[in-house]
Amino acid sequence: MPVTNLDALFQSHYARLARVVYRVLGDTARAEEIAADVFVRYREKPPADGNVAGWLHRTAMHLAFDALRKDKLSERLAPRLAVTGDARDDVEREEARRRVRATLAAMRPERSELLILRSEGYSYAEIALLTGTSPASVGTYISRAEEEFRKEYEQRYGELG
Amino acid sequence: MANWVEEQMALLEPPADWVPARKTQPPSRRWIGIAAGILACAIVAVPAQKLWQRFTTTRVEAVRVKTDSNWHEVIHSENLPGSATAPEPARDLDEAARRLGFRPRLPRAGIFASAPSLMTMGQFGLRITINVAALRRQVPSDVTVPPEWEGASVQIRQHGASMAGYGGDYMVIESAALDITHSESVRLPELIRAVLRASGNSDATATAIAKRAATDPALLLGIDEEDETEIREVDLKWGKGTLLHDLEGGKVVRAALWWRANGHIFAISGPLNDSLMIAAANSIE
Repeated sequence: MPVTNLDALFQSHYARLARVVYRVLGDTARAEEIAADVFVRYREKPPADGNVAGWLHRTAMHLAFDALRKDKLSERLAPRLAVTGDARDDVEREEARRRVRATLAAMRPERSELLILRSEGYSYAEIALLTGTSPASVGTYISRAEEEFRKEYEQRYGELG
Repeated sequence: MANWVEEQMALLEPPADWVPARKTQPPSRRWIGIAAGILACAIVAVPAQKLWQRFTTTRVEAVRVKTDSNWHEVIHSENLPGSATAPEPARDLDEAARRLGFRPRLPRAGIFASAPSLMTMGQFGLRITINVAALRRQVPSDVTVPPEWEGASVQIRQHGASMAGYGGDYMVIESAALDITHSESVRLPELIRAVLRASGNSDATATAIAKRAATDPALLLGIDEEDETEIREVDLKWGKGTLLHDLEGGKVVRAALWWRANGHIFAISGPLNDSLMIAAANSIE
């Protein structure tokens, strides 16, 4: 894909990338920034192989989890800075989301990616295309990813919430 | 099981009315949470006589670190059993005091425009484990990483904290002193020096921080060197405080002030207003 097609590429993928990144970070502004950064990186150094959509998604996911990991430790020491609402329900929901994100961050990246893409409504065929796997194997890989998620979650929190 | 996982993943659904806006500029560097990740903790210079060494500290020191994509492999952290997982709203200071075992001290009324919204956080603990192989890959060749560090851990316990949210996104935090415990096999001055070298600090800087921590133990908070963050000391009635400025495109967008007082750790985080933050810190009795 020549760099001159960047605009078209942006139009095709930007919103979907932003939504995927949002699932990792839970912050619309940061999701938009990181999704935009993916295209900056693409412009600077386009991928050698032809799977541009796969590269964009992998890069977005990589950047999103990197950002999440950077936040993680400090959030544990003073994790509630961002929580300003009064409603306990909000606090609990936010905590549930934090647990899911922490679990995803601890998993093998390729498996976290599968769960996020699937939850975002990508079809098996699309996931196969983006991840470079056989469409026939996607279901199996998603099952393994779900199993790893459950184990990791249970190990961290001792319960299935 | 699949349904349960799907339910968890559905929690991450973006807002229904959100349409991602096109950004035309590269992403700004974002300050890592309130100050950044915990990299290492304090030092005790006393020779270890027991399996575990334990001490408390109220000092927090900000250090520059390089948190590249491999950094999370060096330090593994996990919550200690029994850690609080969510803050709890408190009706008033009395209720907060009953939960925490200390009465939160707040800035004088009128400093901030609105009344505080109180929350408390129960005991919270972290266990940090060093991955020797990953650390060896990160440190310069002049730094020795002894094999006995493998699997050694440092535990940090925070015995409750109050959080007071004010209008304008200001937050005042008060934490009891931190309890720090580490394995006997870890000689913390060397560990701190190695971790700081691995995170991009010069030998002189790493050695100075380790030496300082040996005489006055501290919790080290890493500031990503790629972040546009200014770190400077300010004078408070309590002594020195650490002021952090988070910049985007050279412009300060957010600030935080840390200091210690009466055996506790205090922090104020919010939009840039140094004089307001300092006035708030000095107004606490």
